[in-house]
Amino acid sequence: MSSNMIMLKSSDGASFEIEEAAARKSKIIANMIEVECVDEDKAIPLQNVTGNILALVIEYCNKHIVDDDDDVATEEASEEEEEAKKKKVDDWEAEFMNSMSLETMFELLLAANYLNIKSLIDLVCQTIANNIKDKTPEEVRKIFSIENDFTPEEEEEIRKENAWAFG
Amino acid sequence: MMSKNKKFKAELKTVEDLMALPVKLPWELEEDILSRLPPQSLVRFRTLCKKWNSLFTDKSFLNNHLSHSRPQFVFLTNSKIYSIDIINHNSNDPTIELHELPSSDIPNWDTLMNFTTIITCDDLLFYNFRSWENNTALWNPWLRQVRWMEFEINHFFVFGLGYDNSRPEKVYKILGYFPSHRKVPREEDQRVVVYDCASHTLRVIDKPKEYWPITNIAKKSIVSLNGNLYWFACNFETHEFFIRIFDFSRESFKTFCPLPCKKNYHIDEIHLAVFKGDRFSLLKQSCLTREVGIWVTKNRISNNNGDDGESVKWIKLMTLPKSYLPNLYCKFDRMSYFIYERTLFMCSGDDETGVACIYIVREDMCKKIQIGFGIRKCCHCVYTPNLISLP
Repeated sequence: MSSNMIMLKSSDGASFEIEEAAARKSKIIANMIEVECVDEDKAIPLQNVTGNILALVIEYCNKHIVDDDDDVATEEASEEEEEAKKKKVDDWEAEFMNSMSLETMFELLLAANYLNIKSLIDLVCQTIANNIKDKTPEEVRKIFSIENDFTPEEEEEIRKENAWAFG
Repeated sequence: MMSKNKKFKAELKTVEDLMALPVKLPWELEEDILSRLPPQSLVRFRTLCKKWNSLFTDKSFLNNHLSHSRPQFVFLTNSKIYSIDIINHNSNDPTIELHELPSSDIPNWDTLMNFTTIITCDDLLFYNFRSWENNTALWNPWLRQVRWMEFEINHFFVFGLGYDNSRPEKVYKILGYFPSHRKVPREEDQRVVVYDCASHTLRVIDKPKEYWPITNIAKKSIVSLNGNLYWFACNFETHEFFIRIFDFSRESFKTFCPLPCKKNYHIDEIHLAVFKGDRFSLLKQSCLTREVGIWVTKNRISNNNGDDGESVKWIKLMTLPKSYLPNLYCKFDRMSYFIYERTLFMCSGDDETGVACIYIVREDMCKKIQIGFGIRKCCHCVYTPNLISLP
């Protein structure tokens, strides 16, 4: 197992040291490491991610490298162990997302998308979905900065047809 | 999660107070979030803008949405229809959420709940009420779509729904029968038929040379997987129970596999269900000890249409003490259940009062939640909600 450390630099100039194995959770960084031969002394600049968001991404990646290594090491792990492990990760993820504001979630989602970390995209999308599921259309329109392109008549018609879902 | 939702709501008091977030997500991320919403939320958000509304006709989005959807219960009382969502299913404190669904699409079911059955076939709900009144329909309550079947012949009894999985297009077919009308019913008078839902044709098929291949008791245990029907049957000579399959591609009955446990002749309760979308789970309650054992198949059930029944391996998932679950024996209404990540979710009447409850049970936890305000007459099934249009 490699314990090489690499440096990441946020758009606002903050530097973070991270284990290569953790950084490889990001397909973009993994690609950079392979293709561009990252210089050990030079930080990888991430233009689209601010320091506070990058810190969250790194926290997530650090938590998840261990699990991936385990997968390789013990392919024959019993189903029970697998489930116990999954439960632990689930609990950690729930805690990780728990205190986050919606705005932070949106920024974290953009960062995960830019860095191409599939499991983090899934986690944040699911958490946002859980958060908005009971909201009114007006609230959701505002959260997503969506312009209403229906005429009042069209909107009323769709609302009427689906009145049961507005209860 | 509840406390978090509350906190979230407190942060955003009214729409006016709500500042639009300075972050705008690209469309593919918006779509990803939306594909994880429960159907009733998505229906409500149709009014947001034309793009969100158009998702209802986007096949790949709807399939994505189905793949993120988790099983829940569809629950009919004698006047209303509900979906019962499981909230925080894998936390230490899972709970349920009741949502009322539009009920005007299914008329006149209220008089005789006991004659109503709802079963599923992949993403479809199949509703069957008093077979001799021709009230049988394919149904998607979230889209308010109901497709009634009109059988030209009366006294056709519906057994189950499936399709030929060797063909690229799913053509739904109903397995049913004409019963014997003699005073003392004779097995040889029962005629087994297949009804094609696309061409609306009815065809009598060959029957296996076994005693009553199709019975009302068998109908209670019926499960659809890969387009085929599976249920419990008993060998009347050895008194051993096994799983039987009806294969819609060859329109034939077959013995599929033995049970993982011994069933005390006719008195232990056994229930089959689909597990993880492509396997089986089996729940057995012993009539003597009332202990419950749950088994699951180790691997997925292939769509070889019953040819590999011998290779089915069962593993014991859990054993539950008798105090956890109600007595399932001789209950008038049918129970329904599913296993999700080592947890049993079951809908059944309570022992003392008969009131419908959801039981959420693990080896170290048992939670019983009453549905609504004490509903006794009901009909329910496990269903993965989706927004895919009826065929």
